[in-house]
Amino acid sequence: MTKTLFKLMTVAVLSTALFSCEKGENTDQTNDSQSNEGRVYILNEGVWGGNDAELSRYSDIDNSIANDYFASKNGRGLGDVANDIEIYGGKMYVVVNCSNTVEVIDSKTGNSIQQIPLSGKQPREVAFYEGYAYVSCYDKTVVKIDTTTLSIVAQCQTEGGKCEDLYAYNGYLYVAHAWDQDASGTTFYDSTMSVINLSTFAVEEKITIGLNPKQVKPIGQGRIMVVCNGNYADVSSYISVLDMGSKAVQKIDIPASNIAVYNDVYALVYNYDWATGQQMFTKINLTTFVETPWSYAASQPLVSPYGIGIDPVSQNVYIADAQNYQTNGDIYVFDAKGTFISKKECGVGPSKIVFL
Amino acid sequence: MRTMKQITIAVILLLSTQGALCQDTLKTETLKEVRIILGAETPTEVRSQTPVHVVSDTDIERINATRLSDALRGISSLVIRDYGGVGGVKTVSARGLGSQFSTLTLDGVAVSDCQNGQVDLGRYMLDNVDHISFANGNTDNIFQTARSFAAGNVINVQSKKPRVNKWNKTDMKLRLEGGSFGLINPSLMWNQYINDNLAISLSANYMQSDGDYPFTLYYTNNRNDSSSREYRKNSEVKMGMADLRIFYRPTQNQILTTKIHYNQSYRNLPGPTTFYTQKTSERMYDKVFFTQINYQNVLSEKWKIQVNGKYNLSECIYEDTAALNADGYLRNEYLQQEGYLSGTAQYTIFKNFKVAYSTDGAINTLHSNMAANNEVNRYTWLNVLAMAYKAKRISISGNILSTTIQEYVCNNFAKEYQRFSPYVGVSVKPWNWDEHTFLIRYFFKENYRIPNFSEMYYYTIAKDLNPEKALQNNIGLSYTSYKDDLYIIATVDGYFNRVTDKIVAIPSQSLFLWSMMNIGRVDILGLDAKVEVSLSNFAQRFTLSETVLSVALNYSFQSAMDKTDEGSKTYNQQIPYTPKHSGGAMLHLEIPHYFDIGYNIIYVGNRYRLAQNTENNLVQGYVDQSITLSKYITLKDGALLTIQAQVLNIFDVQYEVIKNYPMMGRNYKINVSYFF
Repeated sequence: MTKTLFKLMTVAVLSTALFSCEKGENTDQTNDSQSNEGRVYILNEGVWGGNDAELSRYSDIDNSIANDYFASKNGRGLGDVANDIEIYGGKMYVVVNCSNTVEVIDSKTGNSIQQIPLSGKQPREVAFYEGYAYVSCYDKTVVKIDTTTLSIVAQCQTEGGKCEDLYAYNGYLYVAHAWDQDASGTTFYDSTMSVINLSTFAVEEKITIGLNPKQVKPIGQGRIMVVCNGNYADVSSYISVLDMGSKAVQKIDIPASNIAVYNDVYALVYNYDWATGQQMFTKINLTTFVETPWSYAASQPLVSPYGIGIDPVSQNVYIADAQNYQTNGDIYVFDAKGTFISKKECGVGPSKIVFL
Repeated sequence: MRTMKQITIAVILLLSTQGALCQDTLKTETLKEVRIILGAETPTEVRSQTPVHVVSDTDIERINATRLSDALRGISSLVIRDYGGVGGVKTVSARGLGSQFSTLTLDGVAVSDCQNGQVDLGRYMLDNVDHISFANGNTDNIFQTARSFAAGNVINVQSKKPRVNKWNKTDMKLRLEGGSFGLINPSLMWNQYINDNLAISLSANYMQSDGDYPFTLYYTNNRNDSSSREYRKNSEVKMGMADLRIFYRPTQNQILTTKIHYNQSYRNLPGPTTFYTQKTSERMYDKVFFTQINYQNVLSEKWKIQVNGKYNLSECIYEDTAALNADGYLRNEYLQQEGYLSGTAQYTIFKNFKVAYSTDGAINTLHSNMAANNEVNRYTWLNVLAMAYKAKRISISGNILSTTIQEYVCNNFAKEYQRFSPYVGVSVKPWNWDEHTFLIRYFFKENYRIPNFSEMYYYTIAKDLNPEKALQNNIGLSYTSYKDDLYIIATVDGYFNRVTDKIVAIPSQSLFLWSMMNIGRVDILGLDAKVEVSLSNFAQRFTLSETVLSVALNYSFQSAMDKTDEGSKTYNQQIPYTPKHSGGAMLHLEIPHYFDIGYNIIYVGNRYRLAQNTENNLVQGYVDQSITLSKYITLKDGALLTIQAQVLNIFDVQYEVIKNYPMMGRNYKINVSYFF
């Protein structure tokens, strides 16, 4: 017990050092981008086969929104089904799954810097570590990209279900393996994460994290929170917390569709229960794991909350309502207490929200 | 697999006067006799209680339609979803009802597909076809199978009866067509007289195409933004079919027709155009074998019976050789079987009043290579009681249909349906003119569409689905005038349809699993109008006798509004891929001894790819024009040689019927046929 506590504290100290570093970077960018265009990007996935993935830029200054932002800046679309968006070092990386590309964009101007083709790989998610971007792909590889030259440096083969979200910490990359199909189209679910040693760029070990793991979020003190989707049948979704130091896995038995984290202080967990149609938001304290219900005040309930994000500066909560995933969604802004601030129409299938 | 699931539009009436004339007056004496006996009479467009379009064999030849989808493009009230190229799937729907309300029948026997409930029209070759009819609601003919009664609308392909006899024992037609992008299409038709009671007819057709046509890829929905010139890749198609029909007439009152059919196709699937990448690893293999019989017997002046039977075996394999899954490839196999038996009896109570009873039983089985729900069985029993009263000035018909269905999944009872649905149609001729006919018509019909196997048992979270319901109301006017050398047909029909309990797919769990729900409602208000004029012998002063000019114009208006949920963004929006306006025109000039020239224009208005009518979802309307030149040469031994040259999409218009499935630009076809 004492040993674990000690370990935790060590990790905590280390990670605090690390995070303060990251935060410093963030703050710099915030100061740089004080234009009316605002600090909030919403990634609209689009529909499969629609070539309609897009960015919306939301202004937290005047609560306005610029839709089709990427096309308006670049005269072309992002492509077909965008899955991830992350900002690193002033550049924004958009992972476009069915177009097999990673679009690198100037996060201040929205202009494309470079399009990195990943032919036939179906890239899915991106994470960063010490000047490199790591992109997980549906062909079960992780691609390493130099963020200065924007060229592919190496790739690592993994095993298990399809690669989903990933996170790099302390020289290691943790990649979730969610589900896959066999040649007859029958689906099965994985429950592991690959741990890739970034110095050798090879899988060093596999950790059992929970059934059908998808979303991965760092929550400080060397820990990540992983949303395990279950099997959509007898195993419902839940959250696993992995201590990347001790490799200990802790299960938080709360159904979850999506999570957003506020500065390692709390996580906002959203769940939609398909059997009952009930929506539930819960705040989880990231030190004590105490759960408290959270609710928003809107004139009418959201239809299908899909992407959620918490502004690390203002603590405002952004919830993207994807409607039926086939029409334009809406972006709702609430303050930390759930008081309504604004609602704007965005693109089709708004799934991720990032802040400059 | 999603691709297949998603596989899961249009325009002029090509029906020329000439065609109509054929149906009404020019049928020969010998055929007349057969027509009385056979129930499969040619539907008349002008006198029916429901709007019927007929595409005659002449029309088919004039527009050089080699496949069913080509022939139906000319009917503006039909919406054809065309995924482009020779191999692209082509499905049809009408008047805002989903495509599963449309039934395709071959010589009166339905083609069924339990898996997706819709038929790919692109795979039906038009060899040896007498006419194609498209009827909204019902046809006036009550001597038909219960399945034909059960359809929301019916497309029937009626094949030709062989015109051979003891003096002319063999008819043969050889045809070869070539076209742009590697199109090669040879076909053979052979009719043989055996004895006075027996004749056989064989047709065979092979088609292949590379389909690697160029198109412009636009990188936003604004054509002034970035674009690039691309080629359609992975679109090679090979398809072949053979069809043997045996006509047996033991007595004057009986006829037995047997049809044995086989077709096979291999298609590479180019898929949607995707920005910055191209997937070239998907293919589809199809094999279909069926045999169907039709037996008719005129028992007495009062009684007439028919029996239809069919056995169908079809295999569909979808393959992705570079699927990013655990095995590195994906192979979905589906095997469908159908056993079908139908009986109809008609009794003439008195001269103008007939009643008929039809009963159809079918067993459908679907096997797949998936681990879950790999065998699904459906037992269908349809019963119809129908009546028809036809007098000089008024005709009334009505029927009541009972649908009984049971479904089993892996031999476990899964679902049952029992529904009753009515139809009533009336037509009135207020005046009794000789040379003109003016008619007012009305029909009402209720239809149910049973959820298909994909909706119920595959790729979805099982929900307790009810059948989708459609109500059709049509009121129309028709006018015909036949005087000397001028023939005019004009019809206008207004309709109000309502679809309730529409089956809608709702994505759940991060778009990974979908669930099906009966939540949709659509109100459709529309109008179909057409005018056909044919003028003969007008050019006699140029010593061009027997010259015929035919003009056919048609126009459809369709407001198909989503009325599902008042609070949603799609409320009161036009449903996807349904143009508000569509229409077209066909001009045909026939100069015997010289040549025939036909010009065809098809217009389809703006549509939306998704249920919300935004600028981003707009699919631009288009105009597609083609021209056909035909030369008929009668050889000294009575053989006929035909040479046809065709330019399609003359102005090289870059258009899409389905978003991200570009259509062929300007292309050419040339064919030679030899009939002897």
